[in-house]
Amino acid sequence: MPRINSASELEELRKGVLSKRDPDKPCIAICAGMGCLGLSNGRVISAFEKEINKKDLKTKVDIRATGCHGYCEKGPMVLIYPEEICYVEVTPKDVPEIVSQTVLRKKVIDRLIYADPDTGEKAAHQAEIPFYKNQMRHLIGNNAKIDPRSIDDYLAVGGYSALSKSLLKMSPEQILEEIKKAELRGRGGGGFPAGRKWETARNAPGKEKYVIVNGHEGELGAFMDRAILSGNPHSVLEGLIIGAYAIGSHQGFIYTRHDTPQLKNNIDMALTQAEEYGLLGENILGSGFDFHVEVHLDIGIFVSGESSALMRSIEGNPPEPRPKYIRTSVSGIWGKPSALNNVETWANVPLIIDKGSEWYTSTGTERSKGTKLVSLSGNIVNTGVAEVPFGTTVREIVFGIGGGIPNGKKIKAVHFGGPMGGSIPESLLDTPLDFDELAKLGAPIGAGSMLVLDEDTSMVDITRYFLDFLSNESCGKCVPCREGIRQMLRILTNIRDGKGREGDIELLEEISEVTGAASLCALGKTAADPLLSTLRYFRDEYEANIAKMKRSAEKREL
Amino acid sequence: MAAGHTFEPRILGFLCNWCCYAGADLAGVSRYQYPPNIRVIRLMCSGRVDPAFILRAFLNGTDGVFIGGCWLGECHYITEGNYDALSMVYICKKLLEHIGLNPERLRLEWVSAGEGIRFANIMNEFVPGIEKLGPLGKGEGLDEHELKFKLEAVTKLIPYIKLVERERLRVPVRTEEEYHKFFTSDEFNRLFNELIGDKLAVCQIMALLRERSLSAGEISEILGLSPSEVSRHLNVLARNQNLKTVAVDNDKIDQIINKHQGKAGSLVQVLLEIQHENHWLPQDVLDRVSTKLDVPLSRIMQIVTFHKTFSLVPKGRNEVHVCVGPSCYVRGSTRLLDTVQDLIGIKPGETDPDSKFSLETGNCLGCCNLGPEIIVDGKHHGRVTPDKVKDVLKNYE
Repeated sequence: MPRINSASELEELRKGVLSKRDPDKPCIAICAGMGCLGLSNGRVISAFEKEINKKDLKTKVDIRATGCHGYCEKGPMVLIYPEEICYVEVTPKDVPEIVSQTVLRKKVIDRLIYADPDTGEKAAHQAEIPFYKNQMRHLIGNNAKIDPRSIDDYLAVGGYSALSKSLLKMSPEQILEEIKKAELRGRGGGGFPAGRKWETARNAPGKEKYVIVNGHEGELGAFMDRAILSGNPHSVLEGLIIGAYAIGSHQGFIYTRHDTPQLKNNIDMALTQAEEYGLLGENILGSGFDFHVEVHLDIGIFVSGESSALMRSIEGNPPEPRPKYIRTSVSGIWGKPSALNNVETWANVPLIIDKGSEWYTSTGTERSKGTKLVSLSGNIVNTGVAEVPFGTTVREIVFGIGGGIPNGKKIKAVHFGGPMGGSIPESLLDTPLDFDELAKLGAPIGAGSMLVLDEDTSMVDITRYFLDFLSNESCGKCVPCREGIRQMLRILTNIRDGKGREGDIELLEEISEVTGAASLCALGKTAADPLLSTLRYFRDEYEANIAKMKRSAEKREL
Repeated sequence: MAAGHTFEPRILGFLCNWCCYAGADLAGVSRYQYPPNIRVIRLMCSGRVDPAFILRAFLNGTDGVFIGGCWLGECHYITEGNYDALSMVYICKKLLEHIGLNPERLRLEWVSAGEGIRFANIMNEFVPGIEKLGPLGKGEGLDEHELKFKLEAVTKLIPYIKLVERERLRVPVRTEEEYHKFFTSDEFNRLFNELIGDKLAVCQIMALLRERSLSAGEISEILGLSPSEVSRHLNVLARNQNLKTVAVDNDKIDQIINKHQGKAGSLVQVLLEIQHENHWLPQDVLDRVSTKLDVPLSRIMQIVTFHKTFSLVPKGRNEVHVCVGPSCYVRGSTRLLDTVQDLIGIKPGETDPDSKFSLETGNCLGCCNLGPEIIVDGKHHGRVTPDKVKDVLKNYE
């Protein structure tokens, strides 16, 4: 592997990679994302390999196992380039036909293409499928075009040009300015401006500083970070290096899940390849900037995605949060300034540097710029990862992209942000996707998981479910969180089981207030959020459950 | 009389000095007839009878124990010891029942000093009753060894039981109705099983393992506990570091430790890798990690007991995870989990006695399109309805 020492060498290498590639050469891109894994896409991939070998087409056709394409519901997905024909729900049995008909004779197989379940309208190309049509795929769009285990693929789509631009043509201050102008906000849930966070870390005293990718993604029902981190790890790494340069850090950490081996494998591979090319390590691109990255795995604890807990975990301690009177960007890992951002935030950085903050701020709403990845799950026709510009209404996402509710049911609510998020009812579906608009409604966007609930769902039960989860995940260090959640859970269980009493709702409100005010970290502070939001919009359900109990008690007395 | 073959029950009586003993005396003086099987120990108050006395009596081959005290409200001491005797007897009867002995072998009666005839009547009833039950243990179908083993296990627990009685099982109002109401309530049953039943099982498992090493399956058979219960108790034992476990390949462990040596914050990664490699963390491995990385064992235990990723007991050959993320939840993972539990007979966090399956509930793994799903040994099985589970699990040995 040649080491790259300057911007021109990088461009030359890119040219070299591109010249070896014939844009007309057929390529079969098979989704190897998490969602398709369980649909035995491994068997589909090996069937393709076997078929290509059998027909002796190895030099004429490329096979690429890519990251998540996003449309998990219809997996395994297969995309045939250069025509970009998209086949859904492919089985190993279909493989010989695809190779002989589509790859060699350019014929579209009618039975494998997408058909609209309502109208029966067919769509042969990815861009025509309603799920993709209504998206703006800046971040995840490249997933289908690259093999996450090949840095050349990433270079071929223009990768690392933002890195060379920032290291060789821009000063750290200019980068900070650009990120601030782009109004990039943290995608992990808080929506804190990334530029300001970086600036704090940069200005904090001390020579040693750290940058961290939070790829923990503990939020239930969220799976877009995985899609990016395992499907396009270089984009996150590129953003991380740029951020490190802007902050003045020489050591980065990627913190991710232990239960998804694919993640660690792809990240490790990306790090090794980047190091071989000289895009990571000492004297990156000949700029004199050194940067190293370590991968750390979580131990499956929800709270370890919280920034201070995550840093303690990297230090080798149990992941328990600490009160953040001093921000982690001032005192983080081993007391050193540490800038932590979510996977998606880092992945946005190369885009901003590459295309400029003006281009970036042209999409989005007044205070939320750019695009957002959301993961759709629950009672929805199209489960998957979608990328939409901020400002898209929730209704458009659920019905335009998500395809609505299965089995002809009506929608009841959309729950944002997992166990510490909130729900909005059907009547508010026209709210635009925006950090502040949704937070105002008591349903902060969180990391972007959208759990769609149909009319049969009991809101009391789903709220109880979230509290049950949190009561297991509370570390127990502070009493308000440990006991508050436990007692709220008990009352809710009673209400659900028809043993509710009058005054329970008021009691719940009182406990949630104390838990929220007195807990140490975000887990306790926001534990009652789903409860409060369902109480706000679905209070009648709680009351009905309690009233039912009262009536039956009166009957007994008679 | 056929020589040596009629069963003459041995009965021990603990009689209170002020009432029952005087009553028995009166019965004698008044020449009332009753069987002569009872040997009497005089105490100042029935409240003096310690559960240990009763168990010791049984351990020494007594077939029945009788306790006689003053009528409630007539105790000669302001501490009202006979109420203590009452609750002690309720608990002891429950204990006897729990280890498979007939609770009728223990009897508590109130006899005042003037009721000689009542004492004789009670004896005329109690002794034939015991005679009908047969010799201790044999009557219940327990062999001698088993009986001794169980009684010893309970005896060891007595200090703990007394503590539990004082903290959780004391009735605040001293009337017979209240005592009866509490000790026959479901609440008492629940507390007993939670506080004493589980401890007793653990105590028995420990006693068994002290004799020789056994597999979970053998323990379940000997003690008549369900596999799910045995697995749960073993988990508790391991967490308290009471379980000696089989040594593993130290070289492999050293390799993992050496790979990370010197790097700050490597503890969690080392433990994760060992867990991944070995599927569980034996005690001696933890000791080794502690010495090698120079980290106190208490800190290691803090980490490994915090989450279910780490296991301190051997896992089954196949690890079954049922996803209980919200998306799977609204798509019916609760029913799926119930079906899996019924099929393999264990609850989440437990391992079956054949070490075939370990069951866990897993949080969202981000394959929400597959919900409800189960993951066996890392392989995802999506869109599993309860009736399909059997087909998935039958492929694993």
